[in-house]
Formats: sequence, structure tokens, C-alpha cells
Amino acid sequence: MIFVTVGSRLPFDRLIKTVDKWASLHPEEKVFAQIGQTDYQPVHMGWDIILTPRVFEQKCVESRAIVAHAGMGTILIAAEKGKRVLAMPRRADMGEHVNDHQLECATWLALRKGLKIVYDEHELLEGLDALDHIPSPDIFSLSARSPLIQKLTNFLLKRD
Amino acid sequence: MLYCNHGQIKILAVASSGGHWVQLKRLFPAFTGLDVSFVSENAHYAEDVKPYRFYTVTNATRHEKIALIVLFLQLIAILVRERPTVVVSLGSAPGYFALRIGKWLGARTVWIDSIANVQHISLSGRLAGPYTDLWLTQWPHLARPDGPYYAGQIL
Repeated sequence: MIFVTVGSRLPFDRLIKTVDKWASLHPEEKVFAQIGQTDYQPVHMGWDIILTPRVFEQKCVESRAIVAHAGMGTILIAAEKGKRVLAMPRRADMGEHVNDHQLECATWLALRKGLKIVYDEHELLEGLDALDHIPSPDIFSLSARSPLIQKLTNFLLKRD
Repeated sequence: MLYCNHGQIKILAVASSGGHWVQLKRLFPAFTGLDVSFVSENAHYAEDVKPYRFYTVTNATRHEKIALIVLFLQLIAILVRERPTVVVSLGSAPGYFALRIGKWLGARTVWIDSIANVQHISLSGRLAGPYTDLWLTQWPHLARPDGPYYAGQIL
């Protein structure tokens, strides 16, 4: 199953419509999308507007790959679950976000194993055809590395 | 200080829904053994922090004036009730208001800017800086002599 998500805060029709188009050409593939608050209803894949965190994590675990906006929440959860991600950054000039921080992040995100960044509908369709070519991510811990944890702990306990 | 807690550490950890909350969860080891309660915009996140107290606040962006006022009033009520000695904020709007209210009530404050802010610190992070005791960015190139400082990442 391919799990598609646009996050809990804003719709992302450019991504959803492209994946729906791809799904129409691949009826053999099960695709499920969390589509956000939008009037567009996908025709060729299962969908829901919003998912509880538990169901969201369950869909991630069940999937063979995740297709998403370039949101840090999704990317972190996918990494924690060991799932490869195909991500397209939102663009402020298209009204997809209030700023371009997802685009700004993309250069750094693209370096991470298990994550492929695409920038337009054409690249997204190509990426969907080649999901299995994305290397699996490295094993990812469930908490931050010790330097930041230690810094925060010392501050909380007034040891700084 | 408007209140006294006899030296006990009491933390209020605040993060917007989505990526901010996921990053806050990765900091849980820092809260081990401490009294901590949580604030976010998605009521379902309460499951992530059981049995600790969780408060749901309204979702408000910088452009929604009425929602921001409601959010501010909700956070005043939470902070007066909880009386934290430390406010830990992962952003954005709820974290900013909680930090400002907390500082006004005498709490120590922490701001950890989202790892998604690679090219510059967030607007709410910049506004929070002067009221923050531990002001952190997760990117070394964004660190400055007077803050924000770099002390690692949630990765």
C-alpha cells in the first residue's frame, strides 16, 4: 500500500491530484491518502480528510512507501518507522503554505537516506514509478541525540 | 515571582501540532522523573503523553486575530492553573504566547526552534528571543553570539 499525506494543517491539491492521476494508471496498486481540508475528492484512491495520530502511524507502518509534503512531522515519523519517503515541498507562491521553509529545507532533506525530494508534478509521477529505488532509511532512534537532551536536562535541573 | 513553589521543578511543554509536536516527543528523555504537562492544538496528542496532563488549545495562525486572542486567553488560564517553573516551547504561536506569559509569571523559559527552519530562525522564535533563558536553534550556521545558540538537533 502507498500512503499519501499532506499533514494536519493545510491542503495540498497539487500533490493529491497528481497521485490520483498516477493511481488511475495503476489500479493494481492500493493507495490511501490523507488529503486535508479540501474540496477535491480523489477518485482512484481511498482517502480521508484527517487521521488521528494512531491511525496515521498505523498507515505509515502498513505502507511500502510514503508520499507526502515536505513536512518535518511526516518525515520524522517515517524515519522512526523505517519507511522511505517521496516528498514534494509546498510553495508559498502557489498558496500552499505561508512561507517557503519546506523549499528551503529541501536541499538539506535531499541528502538524507530514505528520502527523495521532487519539485513538480512531472517529477512526482516519475518518483511514484520508482518508489522502490529509494534506499531504505538508516535505523532511526525514537529520541533526540544526547547533546541536545543533555543541554535541556541541565537547564531544567539548573545544572547549567 | 508571583508565586512560590518551594524549589520544585514544574514544566509546561508547548508545541504546535504536526512537526513541532513530533520534535517535542523526541525530547521526552529530558523530562524523565519530572513533573511535566503539555499543550498542543490536537486533542488526540493526549494519548502520546499519558498519564501526564494535556491541554488542547485553539489552532491559530498569525493572520487570525480572533483565534489568536482566544489562544492567548486559553494559555493564561493554563499557566495560572499549572504555575510552571519552566516553560519549554517548540513553537509556534502557542509556544510563543506560553513563553511570554510564563516569563511574566516568573518562569524560566526555553525556546527550541524547529529543525525545519534551516535558512533562518522562525518569526515566533525571533520574537521570543529576548524573553528566553535558553534560546536554541538546531542549525550551527544560525547560531549567534547573543543567541540563538546551537546545542544539537532532535534528529
